[in-house]
This record gives sequence, structure tokens and C-alpha cells, in this order.
Amino acid sequence: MSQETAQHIRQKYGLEETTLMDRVRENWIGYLFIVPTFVMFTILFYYPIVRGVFLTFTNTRLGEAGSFVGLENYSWLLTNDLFHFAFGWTLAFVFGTTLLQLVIGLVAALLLSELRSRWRDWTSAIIMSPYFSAPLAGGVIWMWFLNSDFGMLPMIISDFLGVQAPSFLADGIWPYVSLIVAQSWHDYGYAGIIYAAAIVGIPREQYEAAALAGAGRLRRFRDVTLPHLVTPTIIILALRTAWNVAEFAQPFELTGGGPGTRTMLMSILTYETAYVNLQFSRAYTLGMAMILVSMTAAIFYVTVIKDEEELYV
Amino acid sequence: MARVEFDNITKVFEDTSGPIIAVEELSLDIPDGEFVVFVGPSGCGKSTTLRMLAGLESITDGELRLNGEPVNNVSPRDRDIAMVFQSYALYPHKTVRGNMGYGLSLSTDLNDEEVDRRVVEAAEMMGIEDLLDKKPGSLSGGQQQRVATGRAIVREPAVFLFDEPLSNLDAQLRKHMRTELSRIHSELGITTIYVTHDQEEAMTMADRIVILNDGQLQQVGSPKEVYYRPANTFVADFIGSPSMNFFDVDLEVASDGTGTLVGNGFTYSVSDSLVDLVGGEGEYILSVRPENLNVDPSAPDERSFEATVDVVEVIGSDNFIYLDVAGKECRLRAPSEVEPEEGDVITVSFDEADLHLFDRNTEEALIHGHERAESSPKMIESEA
Ligand SMILES: Nc1ncnc2c1ncn2[C@@H]1O[C@H](COP(=O)(O)OP(=O)(O)OP(=O)(O)O)[C@@H](O)[C@H]1O
Ligand SMILES: [Mg+2]
Repeated sequence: MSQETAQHIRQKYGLEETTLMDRVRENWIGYLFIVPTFVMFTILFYYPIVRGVFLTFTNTRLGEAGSFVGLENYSWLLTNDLFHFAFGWTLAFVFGTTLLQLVIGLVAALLLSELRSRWRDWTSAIIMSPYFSAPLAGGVIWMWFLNSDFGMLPMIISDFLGVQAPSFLADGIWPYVSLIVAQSWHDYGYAGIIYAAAIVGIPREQYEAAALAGAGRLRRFRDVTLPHLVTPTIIILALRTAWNVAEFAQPFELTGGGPGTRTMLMSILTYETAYVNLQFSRAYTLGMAMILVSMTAAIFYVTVIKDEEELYV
Repeated sequence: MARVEFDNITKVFEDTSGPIIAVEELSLDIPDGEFVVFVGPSGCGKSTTLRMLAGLESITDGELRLNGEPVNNVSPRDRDIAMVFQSYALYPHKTVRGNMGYGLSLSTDLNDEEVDRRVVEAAEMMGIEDLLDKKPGSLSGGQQQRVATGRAIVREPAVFLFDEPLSNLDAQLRKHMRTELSRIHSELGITTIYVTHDQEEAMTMADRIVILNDGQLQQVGSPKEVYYRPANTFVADFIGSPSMNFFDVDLEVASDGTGTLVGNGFTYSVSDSLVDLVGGEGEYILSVRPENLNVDPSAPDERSFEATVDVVEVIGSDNFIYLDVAGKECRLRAPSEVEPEEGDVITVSFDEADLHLFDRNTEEALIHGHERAESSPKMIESEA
């Protein structure tokens, strides 16, 4: 609306332009209600973030105030070999786990949708249960499963196949595989729940119309089910990517970044920098790098969602 | 093109609360090219019957034949049937063109150009050629309805099924689509089964109307037949608006052979020939259509009754007058110049030729005016 017509309308109905004070006066009860939340968020959330960004330009250590050092932490980060490795391995870890979670979650949701509704509730509770278990408990389970000395899997392999199992948490490529598989196991339920809800929401008539049109089971899956899963997939990807970048508890418990530093994830590296080396400012700088990864992914997904919206118009 | 035969078809659903009979021993022969409309109250089994024909629901008992071939166990894709759903069931991610062409490219080996030509042809028939590259989400309800219908006609199937296709549209659009669908049927001549709640839709579109209640067939016949010769009180009550008036009456026969129908609050003399037709004294249900009742102060006493006016509804062309006859509601449809005051007592009469008598126990029709009703609804079916 142009300035002129706005003026015109106000004049016609005797309205006055509202100022900020007018609005506060009018809605003061509403503002009163959000003040506590706003204060808490500022103290617990916004302040630490701003403070954290500020810290990355100092050489603060745990327990000692530091002084301003400019971009030193960032140049340390960019020239650090361990950081380069952790960055690459984190990307691979996030890519692998997110993809596996997506696929396993989809398969679980599809199987559930085929069940009679009488069985569905219980079965889905059982199938999705890893997601609701504490990550530390998940770590214990996988440790008990994979450990070379007392783990179940190495035992089964040596007893039944008669060959010595590789050390799943130490040898060659195995620790990488183990971490990705264990993490996927813990979180596929998230994708499963969202996919299951999306599948339940697909109108039955669309399947029936496709069946009458001559589509077999696979065709119906491709032409009716899959298109309805595009939006849920993007949502799952966006959220799971962010979570998987920050994933810490289970990998830390299983390998702790080792043997040596061979499975060092950025999250574990951040922890060690902060609490083992006590270099808080550097840990915060690492945190910035993790945020950067999540943000890049988020921006990418948001762009895709925008295109996706055009799918229906 | 196909003839459809339902032979003693029964459908029982197993529910958690026990078995539900949705359709019971339905027999119906629909010749090639006919437009049949199923009507009946909610839950009477119309959709279930349609879905069994489409192959979307299994058949519990009986045989279903298409062109003489049993198809009970043929999969939906091999029946060559197209269905228009109440919800339209358009694929939201496909364009109108994609929606319409989907079945053609799957079930025929036409090349893309040929498919597109037929899609455009069908779109022109439905008047949606401008919408071909839009997605269903950006179309209005009426446009989506056209796309759904277009998607069905483009395949030129053996049978069309419509399950309440117009119920989501406003009254005016519904009337328009009604004529359009009738036109398409006469152009293509494809056997069509159409389900509706709306008896006006049924009357205007059907070659034959099938009336169901509680999963059981009540009557099959042309619109005129079910209107003028309802097989039982259910059909009489269901067809026509406002619905028919019913009175419990006793027939008393005088020595000269004429009779008197005695009801609560009125008596009505009938001729000896009518007494003969109905078969003498007994308990009956008398019914007369609201449009056959007249407000006539000069009517002879023995052929009229007095009634108090409750409500007068002005609908323009006519007035609906709701009367109170000894505590029972009676509906009368009068020309618009007849407009009595509420509370007035008026004299109501009707022609003997317009009355219907039903057996009070079986509720089957006995006579319609001066003609004997067929003894069972099955006979009307085989005659048609
Ligand atoms: N899948 C099902 N499971 C159990 N009962 C069902 C199922 N489908 C239909 N029924 C029952 O079968 C009966 C007939 O249902 P149907 O849908 O054929 O009615 P309808 O005549 O189409 O009604 P409406 O006019 O409301 O669409 C109803 O009593 C309904 O509850
Ligand atoms: Mg129905």
C-alpha cells in the first residue's frame, strides 16, 4: 500500500497512526506474560552465545580470564591437522548416520503400516524404543555387543564361523563402521515416527485410484507413497543432520575418539579441548565450526523446502 | 462397454464388535450402456456395492459378472473400470495432465503423443483445457471435480463408477455438473453406476434407480416407476420431496360394494372397483403424495377431511403447507396463490386415482390408484 492511500484511509475513518507506546499500552498484559520467558532466554541462551563468540577472540582457559588475541584461535584451528581430520570424519559420520537412519526409519514405518492396527501400537513402541533410551545406555549395549574381550558379536563369530573376529572398535575401518551403525540404531526411530505419521496421512483413495488405473504394488509405492514422503524427508534430514553433528555421548563411550585419535569427531575434540586441555576459547572456536556445518546444511534444506512447496501448486 | 450382473452378492465385514452385513443377497442385472443410480440412506451399502464391483473390496458370497465373465477374483487393474471418488483422490504432486494421463500410460501401450492427444480431448470435453499444467492444489473444488471426471473418461473404460461425486459442490454447480455428466454419458454410452444421497440427482440422471436400505434391495425401476409405483413404504417415503403422507386406515365395505377408509381423524369413501382390487376389508396404510392433495372447500364431505394449518413454507413456485390431522403431520404442496393463515382449518381432498395402499404388516404396496401393484419388488426388476 502506498503512503498516500494509507493516509487517505486513516483520514476517512479518523484513525491515528499507532506508535510503539500505543501498542505496548494496548497489549501490556501480553507483554507481561512473555517477560519471564524472555528474561530466562536472555540469561541462559542469548547471553552465553554472544559471550561464546566473544570468547573465541581471547585466550581464556578454564578458571583463568584471558586477554584479547584477535584471530589467533581461528588460525590455530585452520592449521591444526587433528581438526582437519575431525572435520572430515564428522562429515562422513553425519552423512552415513543420517542416511542410514533415513533408510531404516522408512523401512520400519513401511512395515508398520502393513500391520493390522491391533498390533501396530505395540510393535511400533518396540521398534522405536532405541530412540527413547538414554544414549549412554545405548553405548553400554553396543559395548557389550562389540567389545573384543567380552562382546557378543566377536564371540558368535569365533564360535560359529571359527575365525577370529576383527576388533570392531579398533581395527582398520571397523571403528568407523561401528560408530555409524550404533548411532543409526539409536536414532532411526525418529525418522520412523515421522515417516509413519506421513504414511498414515496418505488418503486411501489415492492408492485405490492408482490400483484401478493399473498400477501394481511397486508402482503405487513409487507414484503415491514416495511423493508424499518428500517433505517429511527434508524435515528429518534437517533435524537429524544438526543432531548428528552434535552427537557426543555414544561415540565418546564406545571409542572416545580412539584408538589414539583415529575416530576423533568434532564433538569429542571440543570436549577434550575444553575439559582435558582446559582451553576454553579454542573449544568455543571448534563449536563455531560445528555451528557452521549445521547452518550450511540447514540453509541448504530450507532452499530445498522452498522448491518442494512448488510441488503442489 | 459392459453388462454388469450382481448375482446374490453378499458382503460381510468382520469388525471388532462382530460381523456386519453391509450388502445382503443383492441381485441386479445392468445392461450395457445403462445409467444406474444407487440411492439410499447413509450406511445402506451403496459404497460397498460399488467398491466390490471395482475390486477394492472382496465379495463374501455370490457371483459378480462383467460381460458374462465371473470377476470375483480379478484384480482391480484388470477389470477396466474407472471410478470417481467423493474426495476426487487426485495425485497432488502431478499436474492435471499427469493425473489424467496416468492410467492411460500404465494400462495401454499408447505412445506419449497419443496419450497426450487423448488427454487434451478429454480435457476439452470437460472444459478444463486451460488447467492442464496446474497442480490439483491450486484448483477450486468444481475444477478438481472436473479433473477427476476427466481422468475417468479419458480411459474409456468398460464401466464408470461415481461415488457421490458432487456432494462437495455448491447447489448451483451441482446442478450444472449433473447435466454435464448426463451429456457425457449420452456421448460415450458407457455403462455407468452412480451413487448419491440426493434423490433429485437420482430422479434427473438415472435410466433406472436402485433403492437400497440396510443392505437390502428395495426396488429397481425407472424414475417414474419408483415415483408412481413405489414397491413398499420405504421407497414411497424415500422418493419425493416433501415426502409422502402415511395414514393407518381400516377399510369398511358397505352392502353396495363401495368402501370407506377410516383413519384417525378422517374418513374417505372409495369406489367398489378399488375395493375389489385391494381385496376387501382389512388393515392398510393409505398414502398420498403432498402434490396430490388439494385445498378444496367445495369437496364432498365423504371424500375430504379437515385439517389445521401448522406452518406455511413459501418456496416461490409452490407453497408447502404443513397440516395437523388429529395430531399427525400431513404435508401438502399447493400452488403459490393458495396461502392459508397458520391456525386456519381447511378442507383437504384428493383423487382416488392418486392414492396408494400398502399392507400394514409387510408394508408392501397393494394398489397404486386404480392399478394393482406387483406382488413383489423382484417382479419389477425382471420386467425392466
Ligand atoms: N471397512 C469396513 N469395516 C467394517 N464395516 C464397514 C466397512 N466399510 C463399511 N462398513 C459398514 O458397512 C455398511 C455399509 O457401508 P457403506 O459405506 O457401503 O454405506 P453407504 O451406503 O455408502 O453410506 P454413505 O451414504 O454414508 O456413504 C455400514 O454399516 C458400514 O458401517
Ligand atoms: Mg458411501
